Amino acid sequence: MKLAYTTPLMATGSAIQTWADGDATFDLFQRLPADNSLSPVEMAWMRPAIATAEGVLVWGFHYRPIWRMHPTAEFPVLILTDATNGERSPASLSVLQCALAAENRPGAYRLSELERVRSLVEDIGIVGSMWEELSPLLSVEADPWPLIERFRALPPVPAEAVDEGLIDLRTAEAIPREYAASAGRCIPVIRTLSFSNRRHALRMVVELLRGGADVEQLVQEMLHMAREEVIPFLRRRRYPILTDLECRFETIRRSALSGTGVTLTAPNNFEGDRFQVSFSFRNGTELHSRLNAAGRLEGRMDELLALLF
Amino acid sequence: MNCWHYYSNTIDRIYWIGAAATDPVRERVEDRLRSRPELRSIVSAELADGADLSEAHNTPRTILVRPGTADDLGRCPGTHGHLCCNYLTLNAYVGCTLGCTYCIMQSYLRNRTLEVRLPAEDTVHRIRALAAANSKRTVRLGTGEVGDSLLYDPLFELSADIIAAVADVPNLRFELKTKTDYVDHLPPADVHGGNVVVAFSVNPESVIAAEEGVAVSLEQRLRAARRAVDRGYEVAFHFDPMIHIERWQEEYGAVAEELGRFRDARPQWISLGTLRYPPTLRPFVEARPYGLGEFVSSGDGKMRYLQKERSEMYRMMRARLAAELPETPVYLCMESSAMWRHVQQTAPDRSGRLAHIMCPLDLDVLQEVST
Repeated sequence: MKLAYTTPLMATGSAIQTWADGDATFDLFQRLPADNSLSPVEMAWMRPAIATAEGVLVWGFHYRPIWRMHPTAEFPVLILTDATNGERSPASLSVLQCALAAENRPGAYRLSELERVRSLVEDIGIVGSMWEELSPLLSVEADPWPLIERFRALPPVPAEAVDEGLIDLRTAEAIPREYAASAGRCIPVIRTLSFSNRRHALRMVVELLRGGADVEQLVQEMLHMAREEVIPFLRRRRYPILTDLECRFETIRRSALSGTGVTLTAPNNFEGDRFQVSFSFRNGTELHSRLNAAGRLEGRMDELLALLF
Repeated sequence: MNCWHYYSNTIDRIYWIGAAATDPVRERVEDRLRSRPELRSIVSAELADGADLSEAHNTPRTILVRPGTADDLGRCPGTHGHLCCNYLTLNAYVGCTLGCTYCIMQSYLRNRTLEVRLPAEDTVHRIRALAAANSKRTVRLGTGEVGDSLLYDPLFELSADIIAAVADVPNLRFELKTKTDYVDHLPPADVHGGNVVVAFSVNPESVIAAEEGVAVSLEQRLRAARRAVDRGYEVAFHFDPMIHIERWQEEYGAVAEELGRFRDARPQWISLGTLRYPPTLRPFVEARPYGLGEFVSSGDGKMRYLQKERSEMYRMMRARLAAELPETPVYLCMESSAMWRHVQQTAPDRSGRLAHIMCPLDLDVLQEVST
């Protein structure tokens, strides 16, 4: 069946609201189409809602607050009519295509939105070649179904975090099911971190939970921390030996060389048996003073070597 | 673990590819499949090309038997920036179904079937030439790099053929490395030349039970080692991977003590290697309790315990093993020269008891013979 639009019908906010409250089959999307140049009311005029001739709202559910706010004002609504002369194709697919064309966000849908579209398609019973027809409206690259399938397999808390864009699908999948809810307790605390730090933090949280850490205690401790303290805190908990070595090295470095212009570098991850000292100098006096400072390390050799073996 | 029951439970079919279909090994295997009631469910058939394998059969329940190539014999790949123990590998059994959770082969081996590679015709000739070219050193050659040397050996008996063919090479040590107790099929003392080393990978029983799949217990391995000794074989032990479990000192120390039973047999060598893994293995490791260790990236890109922790483990084990088996050389596997210097107090090729196996070999002859 091919569909066509009639001339826009004018309907009051309360009338359209009734349609929206009735059949919510196509209530699939979560956000207003982005257009910063228009107010929501202007949007409702410029990009009218779409409904079928039977009064089923197809697109425009996100205008509900506007219709509620302006129940007597009239808004344009595009009405879909059958223009196919009996061609056979599941009607709902065509309607769904209209909704997706109106939404027009291929590649920018949340996974939860894609999941709802897929569920609707499955409910209608048109999976298969029909899905292939829809894919370009949903994604600019590959068929989104494999992603939807992975999203569906996630426990609720990580799924929500992925949907909000807080973590990526792979990070969510790496959270063992039994720790999903607990790890989720930490998400509000780490949400202000950068994306890569969030991923890093969540990974450490899960590992700490697997090691028997108390999630409530973790959350409480992180809750009162400055943003930049979260990762170092989690690192100290997750890698106590490594961070202790780093701390001891830093103490030696500061006490022996602070303000001397001499840099001391430990081997990467304390792997190896060579420390490196470096400095620059402009004259004999500077050279003398830096060599003296570097020489003081001799008295700290045992402490330094104890960091390695 | 009864090998015939194991095969009947884990193998569905054996496909002979190309010239392997007419190799005498096939007759040997098929005789066994006919004569052992447990094995009658295993199908043995020809397959023109491995690429013809159906998707349904592309599983570890299928064994593909192929003619080997010259590339199957070579040096152990080792790892960048870490000292190699000059081990030479002969890839005869590729893949393993024991199911050790830390197995490096999970990322190394891409094929999903098991593979048996019948040693190429000139393999023995090349091994002999190599031993002759390094007559003042000990040439160590083993089939345990990409599979367990003995897991499928009672069925294919590839080891017996090699053992017989190299029996008169005095400076060769042909090592069969295993986590099984399948030693009873190996040739009797009058066939092997005393240059065969049956090596057992060992770990504390708690690690074996939790992480080494269906591999046999420590006690079964040690009993098999004793049977091998009784039949004139040399033995060796590999603590690899050592895992930093909670009570590692007690548990690994106890294994060292157990090995004291072999003082009379003077094991040829013992290797120590702590758990390491390439980043590709990370998802497997992270799913295990030992994944909560403090791993850092080493110079070769592999994840290892902190050097400080590793050195503690090595020093403790070296001391315990020196007390139990004072005549057996102990070496580190895939470790940095810094660690060697610290733990062994000397460079590997200068250490008295290790020098004969750690001195680099002249491998040019391998190339010359193969060309």
